[in-house]
Amino acid sequence: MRGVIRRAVDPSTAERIATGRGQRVLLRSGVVAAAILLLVGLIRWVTDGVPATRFEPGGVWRGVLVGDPVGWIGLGLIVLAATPIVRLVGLMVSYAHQGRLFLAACAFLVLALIAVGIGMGGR
Amino acid sequence: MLVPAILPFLFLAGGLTGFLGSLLGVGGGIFLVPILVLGFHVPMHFAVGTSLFTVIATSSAVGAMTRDSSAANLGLGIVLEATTLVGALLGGLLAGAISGDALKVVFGVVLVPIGALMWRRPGASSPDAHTPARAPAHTHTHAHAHAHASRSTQADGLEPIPEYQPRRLGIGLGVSSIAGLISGLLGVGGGILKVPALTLFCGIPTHVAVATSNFMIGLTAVASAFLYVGRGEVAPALTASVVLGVLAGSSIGARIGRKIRAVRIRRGFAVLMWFTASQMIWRAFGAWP
Repeated sequence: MRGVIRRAVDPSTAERIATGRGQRVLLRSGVVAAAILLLVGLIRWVTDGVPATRFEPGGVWRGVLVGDPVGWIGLGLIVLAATPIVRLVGLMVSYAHQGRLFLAACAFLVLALIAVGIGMGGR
Repeated sequence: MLVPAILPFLFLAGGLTGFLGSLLGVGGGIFLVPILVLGFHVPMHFAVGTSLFTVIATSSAVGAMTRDSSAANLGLGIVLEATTLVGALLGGLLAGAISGDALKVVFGVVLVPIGALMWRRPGASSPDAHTPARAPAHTHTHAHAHAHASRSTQADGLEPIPEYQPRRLGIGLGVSSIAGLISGLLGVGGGILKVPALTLFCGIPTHVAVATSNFMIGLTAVASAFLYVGRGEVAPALTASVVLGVLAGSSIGARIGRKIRAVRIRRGFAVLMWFTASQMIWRAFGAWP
């Protein structure tokens, strides 16, 4: 087991080069999209004078459809939170394709634990 | 009740913490939470919930902007993240079970050793953080392979990384779970614990440890942030203002960070952190207005 972990965490120059640029593009896209949504929501929040309300992920789509500023802000926060998750899903798929099953399993475990956190919060 | 007039000040507070976090190589949460609680009278749990979203923003923004993010050892980060998340979920649940005043005391107490670590460790932006760390004594250095790796990475415009072999991963896993617990409980990134542990005990070069930690903190914060969302402790307009400020501040900090020698600044903020710790504890006991 120790050998499997050692091989998994062994630094790889090839992987570093292959993943570096694509991940920067993904992260930049997620951050920019989230920032735009947050800014739109915040401007509408100021102009419409909406009182402070709770962020409820379940009501985000409904809020966006009716033009509720809190819906826009909520969508921005969801996009922000989804960005590192999408990055991890990409890594998991990449590891699985490369046959690095230990790392793919670890990435799946991490995703499962994040899902537990989101699920507990969404109750 | 949040009034629109306060939003620019929240944006500036976020900008300041994003700038400092990026400059000093730490998550901005250790600055943001006290600013929100002491400066804006935001309830402690709301400050932590907001801070967790800024940690996600900082992690993604720094990863998107700096070429050094490619130095991250993603395999190591994913393995360590499993135990980090267990700690983060426990921390997030624990925070829901204790009062805001108790959380302030915990935050103040935790700030003391974090200030000491900030005083001692090389920051991400300091020149020595980008100096290749010496290879562990038991590691064989293969000059040819190292030269090949350096050439390969330089050809792609990336900084060469010294050859290293991660070791004592048990310590890394243990420290990561504690960092996760503190992150979920107090809304900080936890990199200030992980980076020294990875560097000192696991033989990871400093800038690899910083980049790996930055990869991890966003994932850690996502899991615990939604525990605060579920308890209604994330105020949309407050969080949006601060996150936008953090994104702007970290962008500026990442661009100018390398030009500034951060050692003296970091030590100044270590002292400020100890002062803030005392204020948080005094506020918890009602001795601060």
